[in-house]
Amino acid sequence: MSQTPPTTDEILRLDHLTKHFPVGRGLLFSRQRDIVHAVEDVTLGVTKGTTLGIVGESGSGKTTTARMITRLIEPTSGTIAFDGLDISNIDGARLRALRRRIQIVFQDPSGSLNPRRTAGQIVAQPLRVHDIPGDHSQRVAELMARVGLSPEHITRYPHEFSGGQRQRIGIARALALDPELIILDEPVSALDVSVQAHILNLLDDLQRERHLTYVVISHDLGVIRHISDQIAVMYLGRIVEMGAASGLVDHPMHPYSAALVSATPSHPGRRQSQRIVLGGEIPSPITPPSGCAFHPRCPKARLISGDHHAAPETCRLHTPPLTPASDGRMVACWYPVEADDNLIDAAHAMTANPG
Amino acid sequence: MDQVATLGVTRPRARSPRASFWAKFTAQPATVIALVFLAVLILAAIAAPLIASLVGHGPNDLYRTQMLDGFGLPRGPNGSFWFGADSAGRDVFIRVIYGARVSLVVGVVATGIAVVIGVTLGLIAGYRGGIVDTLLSRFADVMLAMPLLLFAIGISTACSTTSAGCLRGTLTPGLNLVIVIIAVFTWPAMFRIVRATTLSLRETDFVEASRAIGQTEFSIMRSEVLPNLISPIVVYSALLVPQSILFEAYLTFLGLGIPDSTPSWGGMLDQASQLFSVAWWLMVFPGLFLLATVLAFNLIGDGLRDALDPKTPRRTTRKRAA
Repeated sequence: MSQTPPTTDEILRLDHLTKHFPVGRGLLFSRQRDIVHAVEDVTLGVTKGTTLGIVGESGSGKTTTARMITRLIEPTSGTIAFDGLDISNIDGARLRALRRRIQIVFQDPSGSLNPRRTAGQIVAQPLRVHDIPGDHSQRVAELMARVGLSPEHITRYPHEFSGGQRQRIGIARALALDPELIILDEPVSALDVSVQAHILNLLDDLQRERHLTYVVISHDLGVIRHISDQIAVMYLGRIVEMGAASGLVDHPMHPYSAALVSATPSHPGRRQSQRIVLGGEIPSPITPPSGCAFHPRCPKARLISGDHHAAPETCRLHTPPLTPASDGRMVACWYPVEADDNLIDAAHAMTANPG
Repeated sequence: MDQVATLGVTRPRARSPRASFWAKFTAQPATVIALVFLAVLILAAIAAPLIASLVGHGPNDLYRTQMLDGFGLPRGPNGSFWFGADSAGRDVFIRVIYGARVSLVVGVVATGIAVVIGVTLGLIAGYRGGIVDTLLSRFADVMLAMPLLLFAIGISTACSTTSAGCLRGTLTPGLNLVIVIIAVFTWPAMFRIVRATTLSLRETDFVEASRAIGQTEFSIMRSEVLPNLISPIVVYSALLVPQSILFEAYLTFLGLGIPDSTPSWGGMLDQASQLFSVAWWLMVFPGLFLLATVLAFNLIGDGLRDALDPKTPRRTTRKRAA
């Protein structure tokens, strides 16, 4: 949405955010370094009190984006603005103050809780670190109750809890400082499906009650669609499509989004034969394909070129910019999906006749 | 509540980590025996002067007429000299008890110093990474590559030529020198273990979470990473103690450690080697005590490792859900 001016109730804005990781070969002697293009030119805005879902395969850069927002890793270039303030370079006391306003819930609830601390100590940790005045144990008890844990859980250790309960502890810890923005990095993907719904409902309730803003990262479009107002689809470090959740899921415009949507089991009315089966794997972010990063796997490009083996020159040579389409949608594609495109057969033809 | 997930699954009654630790630690009879042996040894070492006065023999008292025969050879164990006498007519039992003091002090203090150095540097190297890690790790590698015994012999010889010691008197011959030498050569082992564990802990989500909360790096190292290092530190310390005790014995046996006026097991073994053919008790008693002490510490180290490893099954009966 680079064209639309930031509205006043926008709480988070990423501008041309980019992260390159150098990967060294050899510790001291080799000068030769490869670059992992983890996040490439990501621009997006999040409105206060809403949920942005970022969806993509592993390696799409969604987790790196999340960690940059929380300032756990430094961006290579681009800016992150939180509540109108550029936070991409702050440090010291200002960064510490920011930590109170942005919190993160991690994917693996057992790994994100120190095994040597009780649940109560873990939830109280943010209060202790920030020297919050007042009765911490009272506050911990409130938080634990709010996320659905009972008082006797306070003195237990993480290994004594179930996965869902551990994630509740992680959520209580994130809530302790009354943040405005919570980053949820795959909040339910380590949990049983039955438990997932409980956690998602809890997150929903908390958002309404505390006017929280969420950025949810997941590979699971079903989860993302369930809780997001806006969805951003990432592929190989770039946003390929972004827009209102229902619109995007019902009418994906980027061929990759279409493939993701068709692969989501909870999508109503889907039969196995309707799935767009992409060939191959997500390419290495060390050597991303030229032009549109999706072109080697893109069924739509084959429809345009009329050849199973090659994408059109436009796709191969030029990187499509994220441009506005109908009803506030943004798409980075030279040939967006149209209603009568038969991507299923096109994808099938690609995998059946590998070039 | 995750009703679906917890319904019908009665988890075993949660025990405090301490209670569970003791249950596992004392489950092995060998560990318990080692623990009892060490407790008795430590008490005896502390009460050595008391024992000496009860028996009536000092550690350096000479009983030439009583315990040396006509040829000047020592006599063996009897009613009042339980472990016999040495070539100077001194009571071996009392000297073994006093020797325990040296061994325990050297074992514990040298290990303590090595642990403090190794843990501090290992934590810094593992957590900071980068050039700090490279420098500290290479330094530790160099220390580990030194021919330990040769180097120790060199240092102790250099520092023992005069009673003034070396390094302007900072290292004087005797107990302190032995402790310093042992500590200097054993910390790299502790360093490596702590560094490796810290390296993996640094990448865990709970460290990341602490960072996201705004905890300072130093505070994360101290209160998030360090508590998770307790198990390897404790286990490895328990295994370093016997190593240090043996090393003190080597040095003293070679005449480079503790001077003869202070009874020590290594020194006693050294003297025994000249008379072994006629006086077996000179070697057997200090040797047995050395063996038993080293064995006891090793057993306790193993016991600690089992008890602190969450993957070891509890030996107590598991309650099953009805």
